[in-house]
Amino acid sequence: MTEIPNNPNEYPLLKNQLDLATLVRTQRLQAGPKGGKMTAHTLADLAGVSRDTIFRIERGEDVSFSTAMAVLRVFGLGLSAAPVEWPTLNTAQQHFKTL
Amino acid sequence: MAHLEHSATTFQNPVTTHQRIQTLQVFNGGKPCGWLGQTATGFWFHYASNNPKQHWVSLLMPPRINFYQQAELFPVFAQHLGAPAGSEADALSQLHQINGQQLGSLSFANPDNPVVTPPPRTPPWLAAGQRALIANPNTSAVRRPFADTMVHHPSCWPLIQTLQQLKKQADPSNRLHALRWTLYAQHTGQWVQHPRPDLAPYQQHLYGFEAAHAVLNLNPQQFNALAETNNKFEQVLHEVARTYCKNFSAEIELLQLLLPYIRQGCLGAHLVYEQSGAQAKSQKPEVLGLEYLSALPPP
Repeated sequence: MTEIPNNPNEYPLLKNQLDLATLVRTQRLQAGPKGGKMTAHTLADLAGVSRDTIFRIERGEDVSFSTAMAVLRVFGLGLSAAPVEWPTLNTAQQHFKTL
Repeated sequence: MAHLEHSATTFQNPVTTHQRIQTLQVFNGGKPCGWLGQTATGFWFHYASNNPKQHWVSLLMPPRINFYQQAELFPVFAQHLGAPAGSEADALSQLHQINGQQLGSLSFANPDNPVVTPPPRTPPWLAAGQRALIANPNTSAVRRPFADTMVHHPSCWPLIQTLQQLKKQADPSNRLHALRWTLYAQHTGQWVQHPRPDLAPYQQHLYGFEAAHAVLNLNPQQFNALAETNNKFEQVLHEVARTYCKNFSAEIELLQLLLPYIRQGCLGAHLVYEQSGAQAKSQKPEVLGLEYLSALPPP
């Protein structure tokens, strides 16, 4: 597994399930042996959920909070709360992920 | 005599429509707020003062940054110009021409020719789907005329009645700002009229009014393309409500009912906001919620 940075600023702010989807997918693609990808099957086994649930998260669909936390725990991640600033001209499209 | 007549005509039309405007003075709530300019490479906006507590010109343009510059016209201004106008060379002249017919607290003046035209008391000729702002014909002529009434072509009446029903269904206690105007809409026979949706109670001031596509920093074509992607469009509008609105769960409930109309382009979603007062804790405007209006047909 890749070493997880301790600096929380290196992780994106999760504002909604789409952000969670991106985070879980990027983490899974680099959490396998030698920094390669981990299969959804392995991740599902480690988290104790079904493979379909992993794909549901990665599609940005709703899952229970405990499921999302279980999957994040596999990567050694937890959640912290932070204020969500209003987007500006430069950040609006990224903020709402419209592109 | 012929010379005199010519002079009189020139005097009555002091603004030559072909004259290109380079800079517009922008007013927010009737007070000078900054300058909007156009150069060969794009547009710039400059707040008139450095005070971070001043009124925001747009939800995307906080005054902590004093100067903004980009190739395209800023979305808060482009939203008034319809589909293709944002990229047209003479956008500032167009903005100046529609001054008084746009919603929201912003207004414009040509610093070289600061002419103020009073609002009409009867609507101009309206095509189907069009709307206009007029001064209420019943207001005493002694008072300074103010464009406090919105009029629609009568073909909008069935849609407005449907919206009224949806408002009563999703927000029976009238907590949300959205669609309050439908409760006051009247069919006069010739047109449909109601108080303008960006007018604060007691007509003290106008609220900020920004289209959903403007706060996403998209032009109308990009927004229409987004509307065609089923799941994503819904999620993006929900995220707009969550980001800006206090009562976002109720907003999303109403939004869900109106989503088919927004997707079809019959209805436009906007954010309504009030500028924070000098004593307010937060320097940010207070967003009152989403507002919906029948969308204008493309020009």
